[in-house]
Amino acid sequence: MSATAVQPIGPALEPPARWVRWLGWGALLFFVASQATGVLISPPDRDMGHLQKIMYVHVPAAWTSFIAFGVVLVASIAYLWKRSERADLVAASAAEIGTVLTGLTLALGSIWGKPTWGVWWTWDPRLTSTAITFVIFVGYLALRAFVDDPERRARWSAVVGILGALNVPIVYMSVKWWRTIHQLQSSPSTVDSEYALALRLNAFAFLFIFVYLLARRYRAAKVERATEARQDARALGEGA
Amino acid sequence: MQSNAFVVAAYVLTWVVLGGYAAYVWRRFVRAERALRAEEAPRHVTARAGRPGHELGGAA
Repeated sequence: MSATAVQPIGPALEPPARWVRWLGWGALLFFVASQATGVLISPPDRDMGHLQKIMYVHVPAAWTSFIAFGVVLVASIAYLWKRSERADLVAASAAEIGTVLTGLTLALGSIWGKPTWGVWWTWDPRLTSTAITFVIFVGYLALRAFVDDPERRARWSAVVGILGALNVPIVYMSVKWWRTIHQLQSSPSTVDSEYALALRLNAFAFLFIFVYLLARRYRAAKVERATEARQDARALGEGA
Repeated sequence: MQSNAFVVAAYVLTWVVLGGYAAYVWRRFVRAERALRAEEAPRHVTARAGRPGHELGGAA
């Protein structure tokens, strides 16, 4: 095992930063207020009626998953460059949250698709490329679960993380590059001004939730890694 | 009426997934913290055992 080659992280059991707790409560309140704005204040669409309100959870979930995979990309490159254990754990934490958000995006899209397109699923370029990204990152998490050597696990998952994150621009551009039944990219500038406020609020709400979950998940990963290092050291000591 | 059911399902699913994941992260941290303290516990016992007069220090 060559785990000693990586830069170690700091003390694992140091108390959580106060800003994380405040961010958690703030993000929860902001999330409730944003959802209430979307459901109760935003008017129903002329064609879709109240179904349009699914946009306020579907689109922010998708955007935030893109941000999560962007963090995976940067942290994975940082790991391969600096061999920093911290970068590896940040990448792993962001990848897990990004996978959850991508799964949520697919499920919400399916719930929206059934009443509007008439089907739960279709092999449309946007849906298919999103599903491929989801499968890649499920593979990333499986890889981390099955490789015992911390350095090999970090190196291999950094490569998979970079390849998975490079799929995100393909997902984003798929609605322009190929014929698709999915609408073009949604943004506050492409939706009606009456919907822009709720979309912006929910996008920030998801972003705050993501930052909070990332801080919490990173802390759990740091403690798990410290435990793993002690178990490895003890096993090596007993074996000697 | 039916379209409202899809909207409710979407919002309920969002809360269940995000809340469930937050609970999972919390449980994982608690378990990891317990495991780390358990890993560090024998070392404390050994350190105390080395002190003169301690019951684990032996008859000598």
